Amino acid sequence: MERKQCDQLLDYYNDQLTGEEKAAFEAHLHSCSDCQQEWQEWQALTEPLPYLSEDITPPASMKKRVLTNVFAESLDQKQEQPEQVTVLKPKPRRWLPSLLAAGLLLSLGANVYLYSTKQTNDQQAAPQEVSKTAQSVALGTVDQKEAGGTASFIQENQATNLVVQMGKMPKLSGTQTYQVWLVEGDKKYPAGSFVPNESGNGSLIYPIHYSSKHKWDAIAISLEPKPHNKQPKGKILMLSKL
Amino acid sequence: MGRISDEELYELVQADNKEALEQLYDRYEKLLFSFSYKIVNTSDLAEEAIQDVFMKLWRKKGIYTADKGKFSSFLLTVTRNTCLDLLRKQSKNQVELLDKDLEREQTESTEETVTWNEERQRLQEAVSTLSSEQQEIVQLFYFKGCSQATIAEKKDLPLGTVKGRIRLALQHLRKVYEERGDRIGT
Ligand SMILES: [Zn+2]
Repeated sequence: MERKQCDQLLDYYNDQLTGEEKAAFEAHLHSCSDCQQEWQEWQALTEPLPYLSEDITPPASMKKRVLTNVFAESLDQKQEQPEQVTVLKPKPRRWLPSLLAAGLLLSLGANVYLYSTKQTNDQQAAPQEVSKTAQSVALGTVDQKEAGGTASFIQENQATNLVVQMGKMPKLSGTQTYQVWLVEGDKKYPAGSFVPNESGNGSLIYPIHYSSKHKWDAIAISLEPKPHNKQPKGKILMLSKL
Repeated sequence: MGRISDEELYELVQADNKEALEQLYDRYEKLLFSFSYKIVNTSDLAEEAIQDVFMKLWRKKGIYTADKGKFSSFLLTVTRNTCLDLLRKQSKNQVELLDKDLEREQTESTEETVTWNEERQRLQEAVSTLSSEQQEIVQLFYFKGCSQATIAEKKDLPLGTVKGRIRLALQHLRKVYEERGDRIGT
């Protein structure tokens, strides 16, 4: 019986044992010094073998795909963890993590945040990798020449998210915030806020929870003295028709 | 050169440092892709394997500890296991697909990328000193992850002799390989 277990070492090495056999062998390996020694021996014997592989250049786009997915999954997990203890929370929304990852991916490259209206297409490339961009507009102003960016509606699993990415935004002070608004007729609906970083770059991902019956006419950004306003109180800096 | 070691990078990965994972990715992308491709034979599956591997590195904190040996050896072992797993799932569903349109886009090789030309040459020379039956056995055992019973059946050998033959082939390989140069990683 003992001998037979030791004979399974190589099949264990190649993960060829069934669940039960595997558990039994692991228990055996724990207590059999012959097998432990042999295990080391096989590790050493096989160590150089991967280097036999022919040198193949991976697809250039692979890194982006892999890292986006890896970081998206980790956000997913972090979002889902509290779900397990809080019963009453709504179901986790799967699209949010991958959208966040799209934003994170942008931050992997140092130059991505250099916005101008000419670069609109480049900027949209990352979100499109992970989901469908339904509509996208450039955001610019009359009086702030350099500031600008894009707003995109991104659809994923029946949910729509507004992704706004802005560059060269004028610095804020105190409790000042940029607030984003969805405009329908003469009504304005809040759609998140952001504070740009030192270099004037800011972005937000806003899950649009308003009914799909709304027909948005425009998107606007205002400079608010305080965050979380239900209606714009400050000056509207940018307005783009949809 | 003050180059940060793999093990140090992994420490940072454990502290949720994305740049550290990206650096490890840059170092090993080519080696892991080439190794995976040798096992799974398609670009798509190789990519899937690599994604799985980095997912494990990122999510399963503590998956690597110093007592598991060199980080690179650990990484290659995880990659092999992942590939063999994919290969098994794949062969259950369909016949092996041969990847004809493998994109061979040129990516820049920086100093930070692991290269293994010299090792490969020495190993290939060592392999060429094995009999063709020994070469096939190594292929079936290591690169296809076959069980001893499968190898016995494919090579028409008594089950009890399979392990001895694999060991003999690998010992020979290692001996010739080491005679022809310094050990890997030194
Ligand atoms: Zn044993």
